[in-house]
Amino acid sequence: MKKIICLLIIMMLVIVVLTATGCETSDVKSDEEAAAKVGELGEDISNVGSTLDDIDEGLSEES
Amino acid sequence: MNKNKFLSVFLIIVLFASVASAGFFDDFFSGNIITGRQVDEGNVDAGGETAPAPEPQQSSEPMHQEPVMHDEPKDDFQQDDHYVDDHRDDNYVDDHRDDNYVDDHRDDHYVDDHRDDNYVDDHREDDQRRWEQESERTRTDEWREDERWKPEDERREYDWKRKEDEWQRHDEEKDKQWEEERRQWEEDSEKSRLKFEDEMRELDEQKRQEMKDKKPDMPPGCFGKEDKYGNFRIICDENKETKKKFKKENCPSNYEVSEKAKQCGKDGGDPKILPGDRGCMFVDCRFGRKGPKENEKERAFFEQRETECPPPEELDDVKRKCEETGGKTIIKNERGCNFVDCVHEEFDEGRGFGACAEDDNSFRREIKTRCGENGGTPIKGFDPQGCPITLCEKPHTIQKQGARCSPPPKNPETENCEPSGGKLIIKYNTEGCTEFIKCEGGTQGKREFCNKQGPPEKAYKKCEYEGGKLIVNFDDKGCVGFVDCVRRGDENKIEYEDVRENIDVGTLMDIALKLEQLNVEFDKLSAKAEDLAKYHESQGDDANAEKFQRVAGMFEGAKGKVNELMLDIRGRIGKISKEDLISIKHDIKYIKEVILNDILYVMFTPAEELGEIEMPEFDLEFDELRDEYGDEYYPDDGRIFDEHLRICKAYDFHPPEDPKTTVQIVGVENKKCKIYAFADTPMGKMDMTCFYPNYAFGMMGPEDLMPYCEGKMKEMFEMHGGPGGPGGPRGGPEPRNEAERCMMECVDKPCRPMYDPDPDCQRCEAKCFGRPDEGPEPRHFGGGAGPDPYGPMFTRKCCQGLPQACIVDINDKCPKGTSKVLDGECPEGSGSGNCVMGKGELIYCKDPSKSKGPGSCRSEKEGDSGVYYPGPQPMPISKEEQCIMECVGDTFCMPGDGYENPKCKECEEKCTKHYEGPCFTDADWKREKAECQRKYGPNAGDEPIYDESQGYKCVVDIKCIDFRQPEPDTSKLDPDCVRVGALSREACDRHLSDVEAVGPGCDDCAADCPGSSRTDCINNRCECYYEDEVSECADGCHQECGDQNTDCVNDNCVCLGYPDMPHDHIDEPDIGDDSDGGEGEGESEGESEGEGEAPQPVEGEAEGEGESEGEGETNQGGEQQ
Repeated sequence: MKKIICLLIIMMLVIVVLTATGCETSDVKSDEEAAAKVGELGEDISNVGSTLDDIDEGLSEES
Repeated sequence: MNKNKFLSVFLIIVLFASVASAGFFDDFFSGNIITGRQVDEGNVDAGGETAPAPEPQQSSEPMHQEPVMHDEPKDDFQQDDHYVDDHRDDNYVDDHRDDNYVDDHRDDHYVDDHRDDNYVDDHREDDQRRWEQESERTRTDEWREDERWKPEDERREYDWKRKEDEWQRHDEEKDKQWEEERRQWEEDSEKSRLKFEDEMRELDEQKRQEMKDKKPDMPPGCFGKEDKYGNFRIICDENKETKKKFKKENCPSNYEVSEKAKQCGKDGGDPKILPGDRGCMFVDCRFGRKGPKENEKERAFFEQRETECPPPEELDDVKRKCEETGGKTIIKNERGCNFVDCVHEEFDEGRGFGACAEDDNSFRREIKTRCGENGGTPIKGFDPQGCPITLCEKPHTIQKQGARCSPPPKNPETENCEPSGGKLIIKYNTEGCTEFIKCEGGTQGKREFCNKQGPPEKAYKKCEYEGGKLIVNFDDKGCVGFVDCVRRGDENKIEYEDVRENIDVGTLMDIALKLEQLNVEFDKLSAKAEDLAKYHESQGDDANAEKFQRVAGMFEGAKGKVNELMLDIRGRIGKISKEDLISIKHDIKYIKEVILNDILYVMFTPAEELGEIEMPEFDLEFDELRDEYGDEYYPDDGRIFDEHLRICKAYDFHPPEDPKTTVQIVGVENKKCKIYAFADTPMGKMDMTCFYPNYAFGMMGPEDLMPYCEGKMKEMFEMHGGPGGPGGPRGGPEPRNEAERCMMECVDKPCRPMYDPDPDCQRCEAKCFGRPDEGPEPRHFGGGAGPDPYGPMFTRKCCQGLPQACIVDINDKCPKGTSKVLDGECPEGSGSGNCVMGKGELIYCKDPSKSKGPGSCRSEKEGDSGVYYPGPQPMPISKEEQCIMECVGDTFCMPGDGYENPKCKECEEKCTKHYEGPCFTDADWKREKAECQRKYGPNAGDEPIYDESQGYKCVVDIKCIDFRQPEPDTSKLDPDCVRVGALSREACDRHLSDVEAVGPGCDDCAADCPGSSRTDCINNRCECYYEDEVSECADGCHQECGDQNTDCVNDNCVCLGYPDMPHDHIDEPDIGDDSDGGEGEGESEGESEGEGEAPQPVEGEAEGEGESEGEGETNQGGEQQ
């Protein structure tokens, strides 16, 4: 039992150290995925634009 | 392997070692965990009886082959002859060599771990050897034990040998088979590996081909530039000549632009003619600013400005005026105030590509709203004219009330669209009637409506001529995904629209909720962009990593703004004003029209092309534009700087109103934009470094930036007019020192930190900071007094190596070429004037508007460059200074030059004569002294009056002093005392005693003996002889002449000789021996001359005496003595 707890603590320490040293990895693994993500970002921005239009509409004088 | 990976591997090794050291793997490999289970199984196998646990196996022995052999009890061997048969039969081999065994262990791990030959051979040989030894021992013992069984034994031996041979044969066969299987397996593995590699290669090639197939059909004359993500930037016309022709045909003429600018001025606006995105000039007519042009020019860049927000009614008024002139009203937020400007489009209606229906925001919004209300999703598309249109993803009738729509067009494909998994796309006209229907997606749509064609040709051209680039992104299927005309965000797109007069709480809460959603969305987008940045970083692509870091920072900025808006709305619920709503609306539109467009621009512009921001090209050069449009044209009034700042792109900005200041945009660091600002001032370089998080919003004023800055420039800003400084519009309520308190009480407007020409500021700074508020002083030469152009922060000190007092900064730093600051008074001749930094460090153009900042002028035309004069502008110029400037011309004069450069010296001498300042000149001295003497006589005194308020000490006036004493009472004093000036009793007594003791002296006996005929000095006293003494003749002259005849002339005896003696005897020896006779003869001479009858001898003697008349007098005296 003690050994298992020791093992868990060591693993947690390793995770903490890895995170602190910026050893994070990107979800993107290839240029294809990066391309898809860029396109996705573009579409997301369009959607955000629509939401902003809605807010703007809410503030505009009712026609 | 990069650093992080190496670290990860290292840490994992450390982890493994730690665990190993904890003994975990020792137990694991020693078999303690598994052996326990095997012991139990072995016990059950042994005839179902519980047997004592056998000795544990050596840890080095394999686990899977020994259980049966080693747990076999010896007694069973002896009692059962079939033991060998039972255990040597084919089952043994089959059991242990069956297919499962091979299958179970033929996986990759098995091969990797056990593929060596030794594994099989070692374990089988061990097995066999152990079994044979055991069998031999058992058999020998049996044979020896009982001889009676010999025939049987022979038979058994025969059988044994036969079986042994069989077993051996079988074993050999199995060995061969095993070997064959292993060889086959290895061949298969190799084949599989090669096959897999081939497949992967083919797949890659196929994917590449698929990506290539995505390329849209280009319109004629267009080509696409593909980036590494498969995005295409379609470029249809790069021919500059064509573009120029297009502009020439479509841009308004210079005359038209000028007329619009004039009209703006007539309407009370401030016109600015600016270059537009389309390459034409347009008029930005500004309203509501309080004299922006003049004030901006005078005030420094990093300075609070006076801002008065116009009321909403004024904004509406501007809108009305603007619409009357055919302009478009746009709203701007500057320093917390909303202003409405009137902008005239670059292209008139009908020119260029013409207007698009959805250019009208309200119409576009209406289409989207109707689509949403009917359960559809608005998507972007283009009509054949290249105009962007809004399509709706669901077929619903959204016709306007009363509109008559014809039945929607039908065809089999659209009817079967939804059942086949596709989506119907419908376009409505302005009446809400269906124009066309498309099927997208599904089996139907996939075949026909996968939009590989992209937008029509005109869409590309239209986008390009509007300063953008049409970006088309394709999905995995090669269909058009994201498509948009990407260009820089433009604040001029934010139109001013009416806001609701009364907004209810429910609507506000709804808006707040949507903002909350946006907040979350921006957070996600920022994370995505950062993820992309990390990916590129891991690939060593720093340029793209930096690009997406920048995008992430821009999303963060948008998120921050949304947060701010949410808090603002929540804090104003129930008391929100129209002005507040206008501000909120502006910010919402700013995020959409400016920030999102900027983000798209950065995202879809290749990193290597994301260099300097491409500005529109113009046919006219700056000077020609200036000549054409006059002062209304400004090349960079902060607009270009703002465009760079919004995407944090490297740029050097020299504010036109403050050319000595440089603001450098460095780049993105930790999602913040690093900005470095500095100013070369006479007292040295002042700078600050800022990390600005809200760069996506540009900068509305220095107060936006200052909270994120560090440096001396910031300190100065805060001390003078910045937040918390005196007089600033957003200044803190509490002054930080007495001087600031004084300034706040003294002046109710912001004063320029370094020098403010405003008289009120000058007066108050003089009062509060000890700075003079008036009086001219030439900047080039000493000798005058005037306002310190560098403000109260800087004092005059004497620097060693310079003959005059210099302006030094707060750290007492002297100009270059000089050394330490001298303490105390300046050396002789250095107490006046000031000095400036050397040539090359401060160069200002004659026309400040042509300055490109310190060191150079914009134009090399005559009069623009080469004429340098130090000191900030504008400044009041004295007559003397004006004279010097005109005199020196192109010559740059420093205080030191005044003594070296003949021209400077000449001008100094010439011009300082005209000096009219308060310090005394020689002429002043003479004039004032004469006045004093006129008042108080020759003994009048004068006392100089100094003044230090000019920054140094000089005589500005004199005070006449009357040294005359009142008349003393001398009636009771000895006259001698009065004569010598001993007018007091004591002085007179002392004088008299002195006279008594030593005598009064014979310095001026003539004065001491007034009226005397002669004087003499006897015993240090003057003896005076007067005419009234007893006549010589009184005793009858007998004593003098004896028996001679005598006469008395002027009381002197004159001997006339004996009565009977001839005249010849008269002059004999007596005359020569008697010196007194000489005098007497002299006297007689005169007498004789007068009478004309003097006897000859006497006359002759008298002539000889006459030549030495003076001597005669001396002799006379000598006689007296």
